[in-house]
This record gives sequence, structure tokens and C-alpha cells, in this order.
Amino acid sequence: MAQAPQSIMNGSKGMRPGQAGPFQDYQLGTSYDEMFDATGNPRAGWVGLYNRLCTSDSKGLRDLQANIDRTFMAQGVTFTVYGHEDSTEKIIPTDILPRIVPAHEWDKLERGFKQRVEALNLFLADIYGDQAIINNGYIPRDLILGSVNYRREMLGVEVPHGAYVNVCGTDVIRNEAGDYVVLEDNLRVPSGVSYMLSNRDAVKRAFPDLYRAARVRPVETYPDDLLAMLKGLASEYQPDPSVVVLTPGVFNSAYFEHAFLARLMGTPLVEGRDLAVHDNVVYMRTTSGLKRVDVIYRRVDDAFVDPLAFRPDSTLGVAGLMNAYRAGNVVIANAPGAGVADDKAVYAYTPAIIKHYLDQDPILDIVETFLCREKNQCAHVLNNLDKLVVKAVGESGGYGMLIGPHASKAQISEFADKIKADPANYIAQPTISLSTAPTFIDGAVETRHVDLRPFILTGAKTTLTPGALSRVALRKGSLVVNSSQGGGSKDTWVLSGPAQSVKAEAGASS
Amino acid sequence: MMLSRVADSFYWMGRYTERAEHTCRLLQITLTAGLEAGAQEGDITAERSMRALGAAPIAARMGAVEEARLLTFGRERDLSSIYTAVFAARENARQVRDQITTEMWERLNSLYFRVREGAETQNFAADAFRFFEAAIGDLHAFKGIVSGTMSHGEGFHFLSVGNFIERAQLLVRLLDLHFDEKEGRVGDYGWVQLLRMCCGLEPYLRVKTADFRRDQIADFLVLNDEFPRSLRFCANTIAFHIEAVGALADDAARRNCTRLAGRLAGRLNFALLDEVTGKNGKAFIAQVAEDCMGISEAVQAAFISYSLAERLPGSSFGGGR
Repeated sequence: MAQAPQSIMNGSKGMRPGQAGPFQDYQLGTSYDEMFDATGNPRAGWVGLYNRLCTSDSKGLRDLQANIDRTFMAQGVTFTVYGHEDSTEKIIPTDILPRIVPAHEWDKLERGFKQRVEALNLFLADIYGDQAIINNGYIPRDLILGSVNYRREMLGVEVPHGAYVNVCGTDVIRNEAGDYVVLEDNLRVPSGVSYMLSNRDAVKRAFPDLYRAARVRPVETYPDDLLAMLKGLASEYQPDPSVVVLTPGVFNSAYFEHAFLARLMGTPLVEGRDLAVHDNVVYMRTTSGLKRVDVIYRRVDDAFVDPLAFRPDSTLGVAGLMNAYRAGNVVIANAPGAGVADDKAVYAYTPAIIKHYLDQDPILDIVETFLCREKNQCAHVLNNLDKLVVKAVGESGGYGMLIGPHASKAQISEFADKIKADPANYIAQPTISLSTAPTFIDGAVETRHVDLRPFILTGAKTTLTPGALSRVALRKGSLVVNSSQGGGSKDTWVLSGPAQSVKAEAGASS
Repeated sequence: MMLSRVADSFYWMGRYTERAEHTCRLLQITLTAGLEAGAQEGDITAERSMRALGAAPIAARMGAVEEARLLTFGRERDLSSIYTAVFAARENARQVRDQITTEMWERLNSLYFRVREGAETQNFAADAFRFFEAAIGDLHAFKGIVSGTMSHGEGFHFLSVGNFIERAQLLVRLLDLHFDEKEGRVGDYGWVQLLRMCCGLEPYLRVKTADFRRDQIADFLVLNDEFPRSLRFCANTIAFHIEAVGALADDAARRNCTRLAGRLAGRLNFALLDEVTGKNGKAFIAQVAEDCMGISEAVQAAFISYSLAERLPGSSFGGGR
């Protein structure tokens, strides 16, 4: 480590949040701050970045930031904004400052995620099998069977390795105490992994020395791991299975990611119109005739994969795909119907699900959740709407939400009516403040709220890439990190060894 | 083996990049020719060039500079402008983003941004030349990058087929317009401009010297076997690439492609000068145009939009191997 600035040694003014200097606009609030502890000292693991910021000028950082933006635009690392007629491609702003996760924190997260995905897969195998958890009365029957994401077509279907959720993106946040808490699971077609990889590329180039010194764990193997997992799903009957990525097409907001993954895995990127099913076997239309497909990594929602089984108006899917799947001639990842387990109401039951199937206590907590379907809980919600966040069960992407403390009286009463009309469709949670992390905004380092989405792969075994997409709410004070609502992203550095404390580093350099 | 849709995108990427380059060059000539003070020849050339681009006679329209601007930046879908060609090329590249190299994508993407930003210009007449030069430079670079970074496999062959079919068809249109005219009406100035439109003035001077006559021009632009923009060169290149993708083939539809491409190449390799000049010239050119259409359709039928029924396992063509 290079020489630590004098300021750390003598605690002089100007290098602390809120004081004149690089952190002048850095306001510590009641939220947990990733970089500074409550007294304004940098936390273990962040010292390298802290030192770098203390000695960098704003112009240098501005140039690095501009460089990242340019690179992303040139490479076409873009997502599509719906409703913009002309310029539909935007880059998700990538903040130049990495978010750092110390090794011991990651260790707990990793165990927590693996436990969670394992339990969710067992849960899915149960509800699409014997339904013991329902018959025993642990979970209300109508909550599962009445869910829009429940797929009767999956009943009794044998899924390779019992893995319904092959790619899982679980969002976690940190509460005021700094504990990681699961916010939601994304079990259908989670996206964002291309940003995990692209952000790493860009930020590594911006801070090479810092990156080397921090001993960050690599994320580059994700595409290889993904391909190995996908091939493993069909390996029992095909020595060298042919894998394809199924995309809705260039107009989908995540098209870049679909193409990105297909390119890095070396697999064809297909659309529904490239596929055909004959005698329960899936083929793709190629220049040398029809070729058999064994595994489909689909980035198309359940409802659209097969117009014969699901939405008849879908043009994004393949007629007959579900029959081929049920016949065991093709594997679809993630399995159709997996979404029933990431329902916002089922979420409230996930600690019980973990307990039930694994007989373990959950390693990661969830946010306290009130189910409006339960009479007494609903009454509590209606009485406390101004303090709670209310979410529609079936919505995602930050839509259909009421944030009580920020809502007007009219909005609250409007939402109260909605809840009364259809209580089962709503859940409520206390407002929780996300943790804040240093973010480069208009030439200054400021606090912004972040969450964390790692990617968990499950096939024959479960693997977790040591890295994540950290989403950041770029508007000051905002808690909404969704890219569709003005969110950005950050590279996430998972450190490989025990982080050095400020004292240890300062001591080493003297 | 590649997805039919991907092959189709490569084919159209090849066509649209060629079309964009051609449009740049013709507009460049339109604007330069229009500068010649009082020279009627310049106006005629400008008009001919606009007609080659599919625009109605200038007099009836908005004025050369405005019209050139429209054909450069216009975004209407049915307009054959540089913007729409570059946009379509890039959309096709985006369709197959996983199949092309990053270098190819970045060059095409930066050209797209150049055209978008160029449209902001306040003074088109002054900025146009620099813009066309830079855009043509990007397109040349793109072709070099394609050849230098992409594997010369199936995708490359489809891209090249599209490229050279487009080139041949655009040249046919230019020749047709010029062969229509009475010899005297084109004149030295007109023939020189035609050669410029084909990027062929310097190569022509090398073989034919500064002697501009219809039969010499026809000999060069139709029958020369070394100039990469002559019809003969295009035909041989098309045949080569179709042979390369069709070599895997054993069914009638592919054999049909190879035959059509071979026949066009043969027609041009063994034509007599008499057959392409004078009265016969127009008919000969029309035949070439028809052959190009035929090849284009045959490629679609053999590789891209074939009927599923005849390729299913158990049908006489086999499949699923």
C-alpha cells in the first residue's frame, strides 16, 4: 500500500465526510454507509479507495467517468427504454467508484444464497409434485394454486437435478444496522449479469493499481460456468448437448445481454421464429437444414414461450415447446413455473420454507412482511399506510408501489381502496433505508443508496460467482434503484482475503 | 452451419453497407458537379446521379443541396438515404451481435453516431464534403475490419454475397442510365463522372489512358476482370462465395444457387465486346440485372426461407443431422 495520507494519522480536518475536501458533499445519514463508520472513519476494505479519493482531483475522475460512458456507448452496452420513439437505446449509467464487499461478509452471503436457492428448488419440486407443504397446511393452497405464475403444465414434470431455478438473481439490501437482508428473489429471467461483467472490465481499467492491491476475486468465468451448468442439464442423454439462448429479439430491453451471453458462451442466439417443434423434438432452422436443440436458456417470460400452452397471442415463443419439454426431449432453463416462488406473498413464507425443507434457520433474514390477505395483518396495514411500503404481488420493476412516507393523502386513500378491493394482491413492509455508498456525481463524491444482486447458478451443483450487480439510485435520497426508474450500477468488488484496517495499513506504510 | 435468420442478417448487412457507400459517393458527385459555374454538363451529371439514387428530376424538387441533405440524413422509412442504409446495416449487425467481432460492431456503431450527429449541422453545403469523406472512410474501414477480424466462414460468405449483389445492381443502374443517352450527350465530362461514381477513374486511366469513349468505358466497367467494381469481378466474387456456402450442400435448392451464380459469371467471363456495347448493351445489362435478382431469390429459397416440411427428418432432404 502506498503511503497513507497524513490526514488519517492525525485526523486532521478536510478528509472526513461533510468537511471541506473531497468528501465535502458526502452526507452520512441514518442509513448504514458502506464506506464510513458512524465516526467518519473509512471501514476495513475501503481504505485503498479512500486514500485514492483523498489524493485525486475532480478533473481526473471526471475524465475517467467520461471514458467509461464513451466505451459503453461504443460497445453498445445499452438497454432499451420503452416509449421513446427515436432514441431508444440508453446506457445504464455506470458509476466509476466500485462498491466493496469484504471477504467475511461475502462468505456469509454465499452460504445464505446457497441455502435459499436449495430450499426454493425443493419447494418448487414439492408444489409441482406431491404438494406436501400445501397438504400439511404450512402454506395456503390458494396462494400457490391461484398465483398467476403457477403453471399447471409443470405438474409431475421431471426436472433435471431437481433444479427449477437455474439462474437466480436475489436482491439484498443492508438495513441501518448493516445486516444484509433479502429484498426479493428473481427466479424467472433475472437480468443484469452483463453489467456485472462489463462494469468490471471498465472499472478495472480505470483503477488498475487499486484493483491489483485490493486482491479482488474475478468474475470472468461466469459465462463458462453458465454454459457448463446448461450443458449439465442434458448431459444424461446427450454427450454434447446443443445449447441455445432464446431472446425475444432486438426490441427487448435486455437484448444486449442476451447477445452478450450468447457470444461469450459461443452458442446460437435464437428467436422463437428460428425454432420449430416436430414429433416433440425442437429444431432450429439453419443454413444447412434443421438442427436439433437440447437445452434452451430462455430469456423469454413463461407466458410467451409456447402459444399452445400459454398465451395464444405470443409470437415470441415456439408452438409445441412445452410438449417437447414434458416429453423430456429438451430442457428449458429456468423451468417454466419457477416464478411462483418469487411471488411477493410467497416471499413472506421463505423463512418457513427454509426451515421446512432443510431444517435450518435462515442465514439471511428477510424484510418483515405483512400479508393483506390475512385479515388482522390487512387491518394493521390500512392503519399504517403512511409508514409502510405497499407492493402489488404481481408487479416488478418498481411499478405498482406505494411508498407511504413519501405519498400524498390522496395517493394513500387511493391505494387503500385498491387494497380493500383486492387484499390478496398486496403486501406491505416497513420502509427500510438502503445502505449508502460513495458515488461520483457531477464532479463530487456523494452518498447514494445501493442494493446488491448476485447471480447463483444451479444445475448438478450450485455455484455463486464472487461478484454482483450493485444497483444505485442516482437521484439524491431516492430508494428506487431500478434501471427503468433512473437507477445506475456499480462494479462490485468481492475481496479475497481479510481486509486490512486503517491502523494496520497506516502502520505498514510508516 | 448457422441460423438462417443470422445468414439473412449478414446478407443484408453486406447490402446496406454497400448501398450507404454508393449513396455517399453519388451525393458527393452531385454536389461537386453542381459547383461547376455555368457548365450545363455539371447540372446534367448532378441530375443523372440523383436519378441513379431514385430521386425525381431536381428541377421539380427542392434544390440540389436540400435534396442531397434529405438523401443524407432523412429518416423516413421508405427513403433510400445514407441514414436509413446505415441504420439498417446496424440493425442487422445488432441482430447478430453475438456473431460479429467487437471491432466490426464498434466501427459500424461509430458510423451510425457520425450520421446522427452530422444531421445537426447548420451548414450542410460546407460540411457535406468532410462528412462524406469520413463516412466513406468508415465504410472502407468496416470492410477491411470484416476481412481482417472475422473468420472467413459462412457468415463472411453471406455478407460478401450481399455486398457484391448490391454492388452489381447499383452499377447496372448507373450503366443503364448512361447507355440510354446518346453518345455525345454524356461527353468526356460525363464519362469521367461515371467512373468517379464507381470509384474507378484512376484504375481506368491505368489501363485505358485518358481516352473516354462508350465502348472503352463499357469494356472496363463490365468486362474488366481485375477492377473490383466491374460487373465481371462482382459476378466472379458472387460465384466464389456461393460456391463456398453451397459446397456443403447436396440438395437441389443449393445446386440451383451455384448454377445461377456460375451462369452469370460465365456470361461475363465469355462475353464479346460487341455484346456489351452499342445497341446490344442495354439488353445485356438487363440480363445481368435479371440474373442478380434470380440469384438473390435462389439464396433466400435455399438457405433462409425454405419450407420446413421438406427439411424435416424423414423427408427426402433429410435433416437433423
